[in-house]
Amino acid sequence: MAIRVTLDRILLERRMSLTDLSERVGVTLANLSILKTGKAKAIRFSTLNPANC
Amino acid sequence: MKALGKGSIAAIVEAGLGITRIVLWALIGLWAAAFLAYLAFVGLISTGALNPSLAELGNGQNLHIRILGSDGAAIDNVQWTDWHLIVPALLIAGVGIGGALIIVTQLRLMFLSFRSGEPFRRENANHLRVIWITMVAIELSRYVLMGLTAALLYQVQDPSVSAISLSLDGERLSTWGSILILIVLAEVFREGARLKEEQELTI
Repeated sequence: MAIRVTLDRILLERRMSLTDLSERVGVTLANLSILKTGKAKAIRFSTLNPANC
Repeated sequence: MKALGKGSIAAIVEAGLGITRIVLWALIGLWAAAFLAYLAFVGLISTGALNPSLAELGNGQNLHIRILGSDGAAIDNVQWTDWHLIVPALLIAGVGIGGALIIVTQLRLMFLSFRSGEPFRRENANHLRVIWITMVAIELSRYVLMGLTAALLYQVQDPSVSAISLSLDGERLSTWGSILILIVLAEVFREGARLKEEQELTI
């Protein structure tokens, strides 16, 4: 099953910028940009759960 | 010796490739001029516009062409009008020079990428692929042109040729070995580039 990234739509619905999201979740702007554009190939465990890694 | 920067191996090789590229372009120019001049010369002789005695080199001297590679039969007493020998020989030379230019250009592009600090790129895998495809094309075209020469010799029934043989000697086998190595390296490079890309796009 293909994984679809709808981050841009969610950001638009919540009227939130990528910078705001980056500050709230602790993921760098560059990484969020890769995720948003659908270029991401994989996600590290440390990104998914930064507190435990 | 350092890998990058002034006086490094990369800088020396890049300068060498640049010089080789210029020399090859000059050779291509010379080859094209010689080929066109020869075609015009033969054309003028066959139409009777030029005296056929001009084709002789004087004092009984003739061209000496060795065909079929290092172990091939030597064909002596070749006249300028023996187009069935000279045209394939010129074509083999043209394919060799053109192929060498393509290979040197691809190597130079790979070196430019290496100097920029990003050698493991998909483009470089493509450059390697172009190099081995060019080498295969050169080898195959040699065989085709040699076969063409043999066919033409047979048709013209040149009395100076008693036997024609095509053989895969050690030199040719090493060329095919090099091609095989390049194919493997190109695919390893491609996989390396893919893994690097994946690493860059892992968040």
